[in-house]
Amino acid sequence: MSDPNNKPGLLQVLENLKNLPANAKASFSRRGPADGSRRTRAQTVFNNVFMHIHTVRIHRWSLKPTFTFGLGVASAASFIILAVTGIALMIYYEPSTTGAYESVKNITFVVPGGRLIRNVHRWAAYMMVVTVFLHMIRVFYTNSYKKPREFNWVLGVILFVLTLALSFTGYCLPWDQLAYWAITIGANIAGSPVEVTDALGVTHLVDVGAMQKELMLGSKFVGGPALLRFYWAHCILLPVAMIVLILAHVWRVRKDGGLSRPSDITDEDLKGTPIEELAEEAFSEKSRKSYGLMCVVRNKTAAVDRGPERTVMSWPHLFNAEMLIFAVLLVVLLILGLLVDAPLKELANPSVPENPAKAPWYFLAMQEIISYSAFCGGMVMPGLTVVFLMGIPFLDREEGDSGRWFVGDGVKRTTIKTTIVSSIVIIGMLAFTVTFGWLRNWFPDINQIWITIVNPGTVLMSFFVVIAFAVIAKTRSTRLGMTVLFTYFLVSFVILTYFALVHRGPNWDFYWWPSLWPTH
Amino acid sequence: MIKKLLLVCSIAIVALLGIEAVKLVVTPEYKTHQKRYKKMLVEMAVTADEKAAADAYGIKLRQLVCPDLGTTDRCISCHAAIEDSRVTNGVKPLVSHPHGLLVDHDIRKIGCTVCHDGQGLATNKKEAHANEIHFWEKIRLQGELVQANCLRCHHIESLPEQKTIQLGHKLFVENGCRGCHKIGNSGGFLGPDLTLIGDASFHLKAPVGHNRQEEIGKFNHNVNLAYLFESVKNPTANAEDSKMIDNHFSDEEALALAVYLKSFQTKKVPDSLQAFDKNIPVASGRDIFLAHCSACHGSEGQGAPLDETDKLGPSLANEAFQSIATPEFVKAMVIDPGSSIMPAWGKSGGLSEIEIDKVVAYVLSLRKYPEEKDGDAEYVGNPTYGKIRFESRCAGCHGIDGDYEIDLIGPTLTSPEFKTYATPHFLETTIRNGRAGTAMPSWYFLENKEVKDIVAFLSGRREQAPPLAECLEAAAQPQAAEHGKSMFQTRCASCHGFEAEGRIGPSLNTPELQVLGSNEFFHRTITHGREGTAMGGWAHLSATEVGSIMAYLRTFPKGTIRTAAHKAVASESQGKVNFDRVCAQCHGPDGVGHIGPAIGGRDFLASVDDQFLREMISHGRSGTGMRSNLQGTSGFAGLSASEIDEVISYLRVLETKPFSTIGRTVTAGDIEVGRDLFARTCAQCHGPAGSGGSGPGIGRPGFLATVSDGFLEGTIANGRTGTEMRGFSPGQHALADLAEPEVRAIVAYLRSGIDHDKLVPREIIGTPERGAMLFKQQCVSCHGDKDGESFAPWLANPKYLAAVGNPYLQATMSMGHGANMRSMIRGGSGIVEMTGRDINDIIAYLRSDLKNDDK
Repeated sequence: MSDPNNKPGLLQVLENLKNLPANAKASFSRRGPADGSRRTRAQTVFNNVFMHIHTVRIHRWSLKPTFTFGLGVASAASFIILAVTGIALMIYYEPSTTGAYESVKNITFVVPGGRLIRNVHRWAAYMMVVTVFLHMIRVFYTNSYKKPREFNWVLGVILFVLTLALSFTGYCLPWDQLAYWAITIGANIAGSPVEVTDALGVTHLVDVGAMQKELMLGSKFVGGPALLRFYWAHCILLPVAMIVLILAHVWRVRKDGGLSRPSDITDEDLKGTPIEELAEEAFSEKSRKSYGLMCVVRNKTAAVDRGPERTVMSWPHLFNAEMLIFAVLLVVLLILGLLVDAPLKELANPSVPENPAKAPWYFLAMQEIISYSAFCGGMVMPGLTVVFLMGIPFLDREEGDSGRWFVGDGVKRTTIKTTIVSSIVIIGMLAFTVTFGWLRNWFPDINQIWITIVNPGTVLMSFFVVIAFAVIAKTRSTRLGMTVLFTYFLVSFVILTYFALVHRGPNWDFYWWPSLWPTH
Repeated sequence: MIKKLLLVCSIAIVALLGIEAVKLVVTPEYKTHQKRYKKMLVEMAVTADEKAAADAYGIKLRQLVCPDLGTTDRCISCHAAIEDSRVTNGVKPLVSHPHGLLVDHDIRKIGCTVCHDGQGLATNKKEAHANEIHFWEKIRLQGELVQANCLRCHHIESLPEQKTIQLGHKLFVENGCRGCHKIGNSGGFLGPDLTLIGDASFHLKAPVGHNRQEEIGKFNHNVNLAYLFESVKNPTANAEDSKMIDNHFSDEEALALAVYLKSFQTKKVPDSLQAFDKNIPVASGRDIFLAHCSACHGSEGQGAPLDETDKLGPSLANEAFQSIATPEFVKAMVIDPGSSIMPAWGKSGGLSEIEIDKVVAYVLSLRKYPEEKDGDAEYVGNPTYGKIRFESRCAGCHGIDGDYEIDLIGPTLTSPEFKTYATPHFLETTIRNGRAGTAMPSWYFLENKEVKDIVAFLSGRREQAPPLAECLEAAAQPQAAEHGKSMFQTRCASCHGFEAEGRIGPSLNTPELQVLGSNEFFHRTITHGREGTAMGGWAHLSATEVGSIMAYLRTFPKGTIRTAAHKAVASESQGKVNFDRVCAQCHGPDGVGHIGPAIGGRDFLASVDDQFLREMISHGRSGTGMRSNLQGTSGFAGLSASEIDEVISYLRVLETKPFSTIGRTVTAGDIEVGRDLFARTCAQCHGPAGSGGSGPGIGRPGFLATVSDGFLEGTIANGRTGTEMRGFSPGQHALADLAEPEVRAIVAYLRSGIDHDKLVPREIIGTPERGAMLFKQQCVSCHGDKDGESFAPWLANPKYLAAVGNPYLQATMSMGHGANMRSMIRGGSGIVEMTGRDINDIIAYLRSDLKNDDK
């Protein structure tokens, strides 16, 4: 036979060498010729191990900037930037109490590009917390936690907690004054169950607080073991968990039918999103391809019984959008990194506590309620908050449309009203405690357990739970009740963060402005 | 659209990364400087080696790693020319290190930040100098401020050229900062511990005054230095109720002090790198005093007010204190005064015993002796002035005119027996030196003229003795001898025996004495006395008395003279040999007296001629222990006439020599018997072992060193007229009759037998309840009832009372104490007029438990 590959001996080898580049290229991609056809584009996506987590086609609604604002992608992009800069930083960082600070200084001063990488890492961390938070807001207010997306919402809440944990563990690594006292406070929060066991008088039998604290610190005191533990959590444990859960989260998006969409999409809605040339082509109702055998999908499937008229190829549109978000994020982070240095204070000094020792900004709201009761503010309230957040999809089982902002009757109105009422009530409560104090000021000998149970955090929470129930009772809508509670959570987070950032000074006393703090 | 945006973003990313790359590669600060330096190297290169080195000079990050110090200093990346002495007029940062300091300070061993602070890890100027980086505490120091860090390795004494820190150190010592501030292990407690003040975090210690921003700016944001500057310049800035003394330092002084204080830091330089300076001078007592005590007690011990507390650090140099304070008292007070203000220097204050001893010696050296004035040596005391001076200084304790009163603190000075025994020398010595262990202070500060006047007053009251002619006239009266006998038995028998047979004093009835003793002899001996023996000059007797006594003495039968009358001319040295062999065992070495009378004294020898001596020596005195010594007589020694003449010659030599029995043991007596007798007879007034009680402390070394045995014998035998001291010879109507051996035994015990451990503080007899009342009336207004209540020292302080003796208290109340405490005794300053009894009552109150009541 005349087989091009069947030449005699050496000639065959030469022939093979000549064809090597083309053959190698062809072996790399299973895509086939780059002819711009939809088939090729589909193959590009589902043949690639990294990209095939995306669908081949994507609905134009999902690409609407004013729908998602790209927040989910931004969160993931931040995470990738963090991972890359973090791995770079790991080359030089030394996780020992004697070497950490100096290694961070050396990264900043000596390692070429070290200062920029460190700054970008720090700003990306803050950015990720912000984008994750905003992403959660987006998902809630677009009602996108409804069936079948409840579990994805739960995964999202877990990812939010992981983000905060990663941010906190990273904050503690430079072993400067900020880091040291942040760990101290964190450890004492971990130890705060002692408030309850003391009140019950059972501390000598089972000291949960001490166990938790020792678990966190690897010792009874803040020191080398704590740093190493935090380093391990920050670089191995939490990132691995994060990656696994991100994968699950993104996979669930796909399996839950993509990003949520309202049932009443008009062309007007889709203005500004990419459009494909063949979108006008009419298709028969039923597609010839059956996707049913590829996986088991609950509820509405992606494209069965429906034509692809409002979907576009993921390659290039979805990837363009993702790249853009990534690029914008990178530009912002680079500018921030070049202009503003990540904070670093003096070397950790156990004999000089920071006063005030403030947590990183995302924990300031929590620190404000901790100032009344460490156990309640540090463990109970955050725990309840996380449980509540996770429970939203299960407390609100209303069938409702998802995919639009403030979709649903009265949601927007309720949100606005709740924002106003929460602001007033929260500010009022803060003013009250600043002026009159709380239980300890009026009854100096009172048992701490009363304050654990009755403090501004619990009082406000109870107040708004009652209001939520009233709203549910009045409007018969669990969605509105959840809206009230979620909005209250947001508003309280924002206001308490601002309050603790600006108006709390040494000894956690109230000051109108930082310039009024006692001389420093 | 998206693609366009993507393009823009991508370009932006590339541009931003490009900016970073440029920053890294092209424009790091140090590269600019090193390139300039390389050019300079090339220009300055002369030899081929230098040229090659200049060409090979690499532009790279340079650092000095010092593992001993734990530093990594990258200063030399920009300061590339720091070790290059050729660069004299460089443009910063390419300058060589000034003052040639790098010759001794190898930067490869110690780096830069050990002296200059700053952030050595940084690679740009702003972060390396760290003036604006608010969290970096150890900001780079420049110029004179660097001297603060010299003491990390050097001792202050070895850095005389560092003017700023030397001035700071000098001010620190001279202003007594350690009196309130503890540094290291020594110092006071009123102010904060300054041991690590140079390391204080600016979180904890920062200037707070209105002009603090200005001050921080002056020090280029070195908050620690600005804080130190403010603290010394304006002590009330930080705490308005601060008790810190404002020494009104000038700016220059405050800066020097701030720099010196900044040197108090943790020791971060290991021993291997320390510059061990040789010959560190040891601090003298004065240095220690200045550093620790002068803030409260003044740099000359003059006392100083602590402004805001109205408390006075008592003056230590004032005469009253110096005249009465003993080293033991001062040392006890320094070690632990039990005060809320004065640190316990021997305990928490941190001074070693050696240092305390030095300070105590220095404190006691603060005495200022009066200057020698012209005419001092020849000045003769004026009794009239002396009387006035006596009344102003002495009468409070010794009684007006020195006469006896009950409960006087000091003994009577006017009894005739005292006057006769107290020679001017005795008086002067006692006044100038005081009496240790008693309330008699050392009046060292009196001028020579004052002392001489007082002595003249006291001794000039020796009445003028009646002249011989008058006495002889009286003796010629009828019944003179009978009167004389009763006179004799009243006045003389205590020593000379009822029948003049001799007791402590020699016998007067021997025929030998009667035939040889002339009227002049007797008259002189009676009125003038014999210095250094128990025979005083009884000048207060009237002519009638003296004459009668002389007449009585003449009633004894006269003997015959058996020896020649010529003057003895013979070998004195041989005479001494003879004397020592034969005579001294009874008459004492040099004839001071022992069992036999003192024959070596001038007073005796001047009143007798050689025949007297020859007769006595040859034939003895019948009926006494003086046997005849001439060979052929039935005496002990068989001296030839020529040998006797030798002895006489020797005695005449002794006449020219000074005769002093003061402080010497002369009398022979049984010490154990004397101990017993003293305890039974004398101690009830004079205290155990003569410590003093209602009678003076005669067992005290201070007293015994100033008197002769004769003084003691005479006083015991005759007592002191007008006081409670009676004569103890039989017939004196005293509490006991002491025979001659018993008197001698007591004297011997006093001289040699007193166990000094048994000397206790003089017992003060007072009524505490009355003392409580007096204390409240007179003392509380200044001394307060509780510690810290008032500006004068708290007297009920148990440590103070344990350290201070009653004599000190008596003396202080009598004399006063410097400018603020006046004399409290009557006749003193007139503020308070207390008697000796009042003073004793107050002391009794202080010593009792009453003072702890009603608190």
